[in-house]
Amino acid sequence: MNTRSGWFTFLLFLLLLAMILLQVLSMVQSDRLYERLNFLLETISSRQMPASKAEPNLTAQSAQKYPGDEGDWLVWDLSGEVRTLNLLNVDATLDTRYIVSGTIIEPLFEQDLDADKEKLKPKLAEKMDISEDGLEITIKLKDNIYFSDGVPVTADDIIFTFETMMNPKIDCADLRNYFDNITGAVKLDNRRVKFVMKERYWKTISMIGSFYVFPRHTYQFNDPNEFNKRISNPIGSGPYVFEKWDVGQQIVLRRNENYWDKKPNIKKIVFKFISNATAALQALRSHDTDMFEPGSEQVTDMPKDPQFSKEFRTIIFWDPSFGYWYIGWNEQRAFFKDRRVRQAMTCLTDRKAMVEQLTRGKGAVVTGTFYIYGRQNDPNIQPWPYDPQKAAQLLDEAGWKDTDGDGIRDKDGIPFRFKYSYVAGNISAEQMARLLKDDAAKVGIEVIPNPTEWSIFIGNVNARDFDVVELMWGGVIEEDPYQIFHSSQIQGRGNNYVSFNNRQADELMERARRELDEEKRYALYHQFHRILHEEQPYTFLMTRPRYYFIDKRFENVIVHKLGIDLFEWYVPKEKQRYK
Amino acid sequence: MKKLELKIDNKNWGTSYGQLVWQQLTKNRTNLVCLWFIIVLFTTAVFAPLIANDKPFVVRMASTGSPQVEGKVYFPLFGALTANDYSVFLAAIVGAILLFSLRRNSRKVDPFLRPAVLWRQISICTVILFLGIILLQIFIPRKLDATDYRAMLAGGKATDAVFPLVPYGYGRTDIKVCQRPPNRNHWLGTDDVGSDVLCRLIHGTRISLSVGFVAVGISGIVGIIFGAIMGYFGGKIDFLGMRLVEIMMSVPTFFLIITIVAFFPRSLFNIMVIIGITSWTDDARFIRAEFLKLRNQDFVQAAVSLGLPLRSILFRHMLPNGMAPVLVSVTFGVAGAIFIESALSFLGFGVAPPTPSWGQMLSTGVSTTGEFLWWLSFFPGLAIFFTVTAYNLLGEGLRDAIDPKLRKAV
Amino acid sequence: MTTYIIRRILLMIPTILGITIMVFAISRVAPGDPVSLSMGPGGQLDAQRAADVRKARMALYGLDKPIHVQYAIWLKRVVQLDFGDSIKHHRPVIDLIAERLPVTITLNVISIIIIYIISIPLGIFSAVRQGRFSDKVSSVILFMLWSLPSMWAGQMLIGYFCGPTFKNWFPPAGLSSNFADALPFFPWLGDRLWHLTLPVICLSYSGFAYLTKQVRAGMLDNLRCDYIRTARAKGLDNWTVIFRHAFRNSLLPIITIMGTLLPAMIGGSVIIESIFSIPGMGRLAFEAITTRDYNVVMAVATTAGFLDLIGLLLADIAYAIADPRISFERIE
Repeated sequence: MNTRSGWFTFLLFLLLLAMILLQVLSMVQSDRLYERLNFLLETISSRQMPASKAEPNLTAQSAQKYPGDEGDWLVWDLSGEVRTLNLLNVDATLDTRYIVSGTIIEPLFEQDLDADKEKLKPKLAEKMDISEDGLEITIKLKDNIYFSDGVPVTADDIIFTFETMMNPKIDCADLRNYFDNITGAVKLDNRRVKFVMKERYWKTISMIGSFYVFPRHTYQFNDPNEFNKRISNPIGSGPYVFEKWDVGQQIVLRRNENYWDKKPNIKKIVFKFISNATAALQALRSHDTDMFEPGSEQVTDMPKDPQFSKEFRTIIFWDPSFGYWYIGWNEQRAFFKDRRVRQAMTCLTDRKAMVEQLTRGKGAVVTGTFYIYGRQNDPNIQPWPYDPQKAAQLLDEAGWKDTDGDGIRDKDGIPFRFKYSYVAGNISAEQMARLLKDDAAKVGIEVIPNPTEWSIFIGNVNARDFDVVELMWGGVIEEDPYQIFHSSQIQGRGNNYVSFNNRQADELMERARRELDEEKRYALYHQFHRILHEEQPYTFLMTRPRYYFIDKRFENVIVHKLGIDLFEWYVPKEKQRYK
Repeated sequence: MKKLELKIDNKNWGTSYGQLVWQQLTKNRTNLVCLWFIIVLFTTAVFAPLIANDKPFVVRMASTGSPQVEGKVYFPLFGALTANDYSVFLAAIVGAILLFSLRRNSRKVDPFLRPAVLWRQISICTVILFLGIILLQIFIPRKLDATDYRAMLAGGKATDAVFPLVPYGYGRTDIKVCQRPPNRNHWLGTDDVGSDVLCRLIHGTRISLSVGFVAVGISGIVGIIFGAIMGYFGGKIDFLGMRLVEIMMSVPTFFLIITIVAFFPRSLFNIMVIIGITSWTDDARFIRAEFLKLRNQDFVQAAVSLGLPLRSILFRHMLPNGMAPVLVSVTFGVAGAIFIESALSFLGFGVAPPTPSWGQMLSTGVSTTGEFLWWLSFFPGLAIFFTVTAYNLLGEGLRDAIDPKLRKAV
Repeated sequence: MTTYIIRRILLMIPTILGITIMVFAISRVAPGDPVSLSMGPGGQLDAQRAADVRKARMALYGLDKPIHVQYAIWLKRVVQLDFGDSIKHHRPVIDLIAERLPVTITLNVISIIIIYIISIPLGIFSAVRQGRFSDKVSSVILFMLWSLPSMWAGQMLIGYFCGPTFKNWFPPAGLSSNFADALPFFPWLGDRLWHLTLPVICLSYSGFAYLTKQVRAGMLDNLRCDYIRTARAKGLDNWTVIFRHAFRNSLLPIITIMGTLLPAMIGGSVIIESIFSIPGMGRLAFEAITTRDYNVVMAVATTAGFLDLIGLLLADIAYAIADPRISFERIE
């Protein structure tokens, strides 16, 4: 027998055995690693907890809770994993806010979900006083409020959070920008803080309203990097406490039994991350998850299935945070300097058909930059119609005609041919690119779709190196368009990358910033909206409502004007799934 | 199958290696079917704008209309052919000429002179091709013609028009008929913006075929040369060569792709080059392994002692014996290139729209959330399946034909 | 032979250095940087501030130094096994890799084992029965399987086997169920394997065709050789002829492929991981590249490079063991 072959087979078997052993070990090891990670984080944070000084009045508070049966878990499927649970971190996305904001860490005031404009309800703070000249705001905290570890919330925590935010070494540049206007925060006494502002600006007042309060005793740091690195285990005063984060799989919150206010009924909230839409739907239908945000096709088709409607609720509501899609025309290029050309391009995009097909009719065409059901938006402005003939006429007026017979319009020797840049991999952007290319070709304009990778895309946008971009802005119930449309934001890396420069618009925006009287301010913004509509710096495309599928076992799911509040929900005892 | 038999005029010449392989290949019916299928595929690719186009071959304008155009006859389709289309026609003609001269050589030219003659013909044709393409790109203008000729016909502005087989253009959209299943108007249905699937499938043939060939061509040639040199010489050359191969293999492919895509415009050619550059290492390693085994065998020693040039030893003696794994790899590689292109489209790095490619159509069919539009993924998938199978079966047939031990009596 | 192995192991070091230099150079040359990315157009930053903030953040991450200095700093840290922190995740890169590498390795190793277990017998079978009906049928089936793109197959499998639409046999996403932490070891293992079934199926089915064809090609080459005729004439039974003689001589391509499988593992399963929401190395690497998270990219490249080299070395050693005719020395 050939010794070589004997050795060989033996080695092969050994290798096989080793591989199997390795797998098993690795699977065990990786889970142990998660446990260790979470355990480590917990021990670090618990070491910083001092003994609680004040004894919270537990008996009185714990009697307060939302009506309904207690118990059960809510498993919420978010489509992408969050990278940080630190609300002040610049990488905190909307999903981070779903997980942490209001549940673990609370703001001073919260938005009234039944209003149609910005209206603040007291949360941690009792009231807000604004001085006569609008330059000083005094906040008074409620009494008997405390964090989840029993330590009371004081003015020191507000000052701490503010100073952390303004610390240049802390990684929260974009949030800091909104508090730029505040020169200082002064502690008046244990419950009151005074913010002093440089100039009158209505947005600062609302930002102070939604100010999160971080507990100083657990978050204080010597080295700012400590705070930047603290991406997990958030601690706050909210109705839920962070339990664990299995990276890549789930984040678990459990109810704060020491909560100072009305306790919600749901004992645990589990956030899962399933990025694939089909998988998310299947997970919902097999009751692995209880809630997720579907796409327009799913939300139209699934409710038609009677079995599905029996088990799941479909919720559709307009959410200002959704924002809108738009096409930005770079006004530094020869083509788009003339406003008639921009108007023509808007007349070439069939936005109604886009809404029909891409959002199954649930969305709406947008005419300006404001939330369409907010007070800043002027509802009387009608969108430009889809009218290729009018577009051709406008183009003729602006001097773009086909002089050399090649089918493409031109002027001064420049053919009307441009690159339409959008983020590669974005399906709806690609569909819009193909539609625009075809529609524009009919009037003699050649559009070259240019899908670009995200990082290069950002670079181009910042360097103003593009002809046309297709993008999306997120929104708020009331926003300040200064960042996007004021002429001072054109140079450098400002957000006015289409180089929109209009005297009148500038003035209106500046005046509106100083205007603290709501009605006057809305009137100014209506005028601004009209200018946007005439000038068409963007072709404002469309927006759509938010959709949710929610397991029907959750009762009291009320759809307010501005959204849903999961603290109100409960599951009747006989339908509860988890203990 | 009589047409494909070779008649040899001068019996003294005997049959050359190429003729032998050809005869073996064409004996098997499966191989012939695959060969014909590939020929049909190529023809479709070359003549795509004449098969599927929204402009008619010829249109006669109505006699009631503006005085400039009434009664006139136009040829919109031919007017709208691009420089690319003409280049493809030129390449097809040149290729056909080469094939014919190959046949003619085998009959009329002395076998000893044949290689030299062949090289001369190939170089002449390549020069003609390149010059032609350059001239075409310079002189054929870019035109834009988006007139809806079918609407003109329906509306009475034009009296007669002759449309190609599939009267739709691959870039034309019609959002009112988007996402329709196969029906009378659109034989294979429409996609998410209303373009006709059959038309895009036909035009996609060009893209997919060229991706397969160019990518595999680059990777095959570079890989074989590298592997042969490494495997034959061994020692230091093998060492250094393998280090280079290891470094090439370890660089994440996506990185290279993103970097190249960032710097150069989003074009099909760049993608093909990238796929070729990142896949030659596999072939190199196969050839190296085989050559390491072969170089100590007797026939190689004999060739060396005869004093044959290196090029001859490597490629005429050793390579046919070590080709088997590379043949398999190459035939899979052609289809693999199509799949890589499809994966790139899925992740957002494929060809820019509206250029159709089977990979891009497949990825759109897959990523629609919710409802399952079967025709969007089924037909491109079927096309890929048939192409892949044809290439692979042909590759296997080629492998069998080259194998001297399988030679059947002529 | 031993000198060869020692030389190869020593040579790994400069090779890895070469890999890291190449990856470093390419990643820096590619336009875009992580700081601008997180500041993005949604940053809502005032124009004047943006430049200062950007400069401050670049300095914070050490990105403002010249390139060779950055590389030297990185190298110094790596030698102490400190791969730095991820800019996006704000965690040490080692933790990220330690979490995801086992998952990816598990997924791929199981797939490789399945591919080999199925393909080798199938390849031998096709070669022995070459030209007959069973060979043709298996060819067609294999090609059909191979033509199915994995993303499409993944979606189909999720759509039909993960929910109430057709059969609810498998979980649609993730690595473990909600309850898994509370389970003892063997049920936990079973739950894990149950979650991995569909991804493994998607990863492996496309490999059958390729490997089977390679085995078949190699076997066919050998089955026609004279020594096989001799073996048969000697009176050896068919099994011995096929396995001990023909198969062993056709091992070379199979070993080559095994050597390349280890490298392909790390980045190759991006699509499967994104479809099935599995936190693995493929997704980590892809996201790091698109967000220019340099530390993660370098760490992944180094890890992958190291695994590559080990795989190639093992393959070369296996060549020498499998075929005594191979020697790596220079011919005289």
